[in-house]
Amino acid sequence: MNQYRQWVLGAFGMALCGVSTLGYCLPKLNDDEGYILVAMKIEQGYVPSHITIEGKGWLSDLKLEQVKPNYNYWLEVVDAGSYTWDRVYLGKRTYIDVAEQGYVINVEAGKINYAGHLSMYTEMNGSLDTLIGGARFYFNNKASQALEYMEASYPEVLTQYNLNYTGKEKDHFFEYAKSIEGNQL
Amino acid sequence: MKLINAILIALTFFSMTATANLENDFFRNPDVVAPKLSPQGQHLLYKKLVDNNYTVILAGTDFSWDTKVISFGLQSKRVISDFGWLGKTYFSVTTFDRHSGMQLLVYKVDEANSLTQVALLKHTYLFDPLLAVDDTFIAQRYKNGKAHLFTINVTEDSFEAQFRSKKRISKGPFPEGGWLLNSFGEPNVNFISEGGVTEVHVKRANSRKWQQVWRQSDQTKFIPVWFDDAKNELLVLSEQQSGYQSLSRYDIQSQTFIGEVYRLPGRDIVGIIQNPYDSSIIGYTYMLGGVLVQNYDNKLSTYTSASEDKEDSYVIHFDQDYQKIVTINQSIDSPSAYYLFDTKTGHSQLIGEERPWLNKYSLGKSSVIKSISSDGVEVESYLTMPNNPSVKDVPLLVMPHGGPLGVNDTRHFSVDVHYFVQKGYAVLTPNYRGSSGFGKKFLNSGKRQWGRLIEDDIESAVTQAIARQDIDGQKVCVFGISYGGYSALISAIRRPDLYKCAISYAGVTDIPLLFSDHNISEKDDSRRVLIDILGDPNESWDTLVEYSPVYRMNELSIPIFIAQGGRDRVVDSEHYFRLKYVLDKLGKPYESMFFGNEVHGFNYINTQQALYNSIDQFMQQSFAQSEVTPTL
Repeated sequence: MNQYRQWVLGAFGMALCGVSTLGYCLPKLNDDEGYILVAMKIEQGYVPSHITIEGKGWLSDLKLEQVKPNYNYWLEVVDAGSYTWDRVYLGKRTYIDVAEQGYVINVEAGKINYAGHLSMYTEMNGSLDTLIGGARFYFNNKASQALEYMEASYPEVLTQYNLNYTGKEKDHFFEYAKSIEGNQL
Repeated sequence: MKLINAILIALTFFSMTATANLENDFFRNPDVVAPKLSPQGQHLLYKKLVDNNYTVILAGTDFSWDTKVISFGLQSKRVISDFGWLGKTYFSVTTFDRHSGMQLLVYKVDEANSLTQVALLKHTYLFDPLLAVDDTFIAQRYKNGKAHLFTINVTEDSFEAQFRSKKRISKGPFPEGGWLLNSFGEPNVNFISEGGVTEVHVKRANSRKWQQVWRQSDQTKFIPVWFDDAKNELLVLSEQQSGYQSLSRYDIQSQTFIGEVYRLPGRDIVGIIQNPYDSSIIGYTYMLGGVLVQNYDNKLSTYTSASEDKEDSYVIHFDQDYQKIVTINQSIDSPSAYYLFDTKTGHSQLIGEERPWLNKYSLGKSSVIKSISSDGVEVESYLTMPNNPSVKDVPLLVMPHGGPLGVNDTRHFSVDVHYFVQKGYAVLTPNYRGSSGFGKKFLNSGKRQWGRLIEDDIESAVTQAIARQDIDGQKVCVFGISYGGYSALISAIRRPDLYKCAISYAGVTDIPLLFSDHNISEKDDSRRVLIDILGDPNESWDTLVEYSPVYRMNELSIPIFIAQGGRDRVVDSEHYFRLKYVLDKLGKPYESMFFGNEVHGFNYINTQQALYNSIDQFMQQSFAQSEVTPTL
């Protein structure tokens, strides 16, 4: 009977995974793993094909696809460690290297780690096929928007794990939001 | 019944039209901008709106003829950013658009007053017209993202040949820094000021070497104005000697201050006036009771005046013989009008008005208010009242300026202030501690006083204002932009008994968040400057959190209105979104407006019109609400 119940729950979970964006597919964390919340905003202009983030460990690099205008989020389970924004691909082989900018996301085990949104601003010519004046990037702490995304898309994950700001300087916001919500963030 | 309905509809329509006209009249581009005289006084150049196109006009000073030089529509991406004379017969117009950057157009006027464009120089703008040397100017051109200076002779055949890399003259320790030139256009002072560190180098005429003469990291103001090679002394604007900004003499050899050229007791000198034809220093400017005062050493002093009770006249341009002078005439609280004055005949002719469409309004009148803050410091503020002596119980709008350090309010015409005055409010603009113009001690006393003594200063001014018979102390709101927006929000928490509503545009809501910006770094000392202004997050974390409005919203008991631009790089939109998130979670009501394409301030006139109209409605609602429910 127990086996039957588990099978039904598993099938139900898989079905939810197929139709929902609410995070039912995300696996539980192992002891040395944490969630990385990657956030990118395309403010204006070119929409990249994909981005890459470089991890320190073996096979820990991330390739994040399906970038769309405005806000983009990716929540992944990764090994604890340091991850650096590497390249923003405009096409298969054309990319902008942002590795030197030092946009780093530190991942602590057992937490949902967020370090900032990378905002990209480009201007195109009239035919929308040429970049004018290069691309401008801003890596800024937009923790309230990260929190709203997690609340809307992964409420279950949010109830199990704390959101953790690991970007530049300290930030009080997640702690305060938790105190007024009464939820475990 | 139909007739009554028709009348009501018509009244509503006219009322809406009148309101829309007010915003349209106050928030629009000026009609005429900054006329400039040719060195021999024969021609005038000015920018004017002609058929909804911004146009540079070349005109004779006898007003017998004028001609259009260049025009751009109000919606054009390219705008006219500057124009000026390069010598007796040449002038330039600088244009800008975000795609292709700066362009410098050079024109020649011949004896028959016909006009020829002689050059279009891309990625270039005018650095110095070098009027002491005819037909030569100093241009700044961007090459590979870096700016370089070049000496350009307009009579040579090829302009581009003069921009070869080896011909650049900006060769010094800080090629990207600031430059001063001698009368012949040779760079002799090179300086940089970043993150509170100022470093200045000079080069003697007989030397090839640059010599460091100043380096300070304690944010002491040291602004080079002129290097006198013969006396081996640098003239600088500095507060070092008296605590107030003065024009000081600094000896290069001993690297010490050796005296002052201009100083005023208890007041900063805010600007130095140089004769563009020979670079000599001919006067200075300072603020008195919120009014700019020009003080000329020479005969120009005859033609300038500034006082609180009559029309003021400022000299803004003159020919090389002081025969013809362009003045701005304005009474305090009214927009400018430009005149051409002929010193031989004594005749004055109107060139144009900056905002002639405001002449139909009866504009407000301002006065100076001096109040004593909680710690005994005197604070100077300006109160602008509707121009109707019989009016009583006027609601008060308090508008603290941004900054908070090194910025000040004046009594010169401001569309923001006069828009609200026209709407029936008294407007109070306080120069709280940290404001510029009142000396180094007053400026520095604003450091680390966010939500504390700065707001005490503002409240002392409000208390003084509402003691007047004609102001309704029960109808007071506070509105500000940037720091002013922060001040409005923290004031709502501090003094709900004093304010009935608060409005913040681009306001800081979370002080520690300012340190998260990736442009703030240890490398260029910007973090240290931020610490100096706000406090160290490592040492004063609790204080920074305590004075952050976003973490105090549970105490909020008056209506607030928050607004933000989506492309604000100074106060990131995250400040706004955090506040919205917290207000929603706490179930606190608020009004908000978000302008996705707007920056820190206003790039678009439509934004300002929409925002200010909404602020007026919000204040009216808040006053009405407070009458029904005295406390929320």
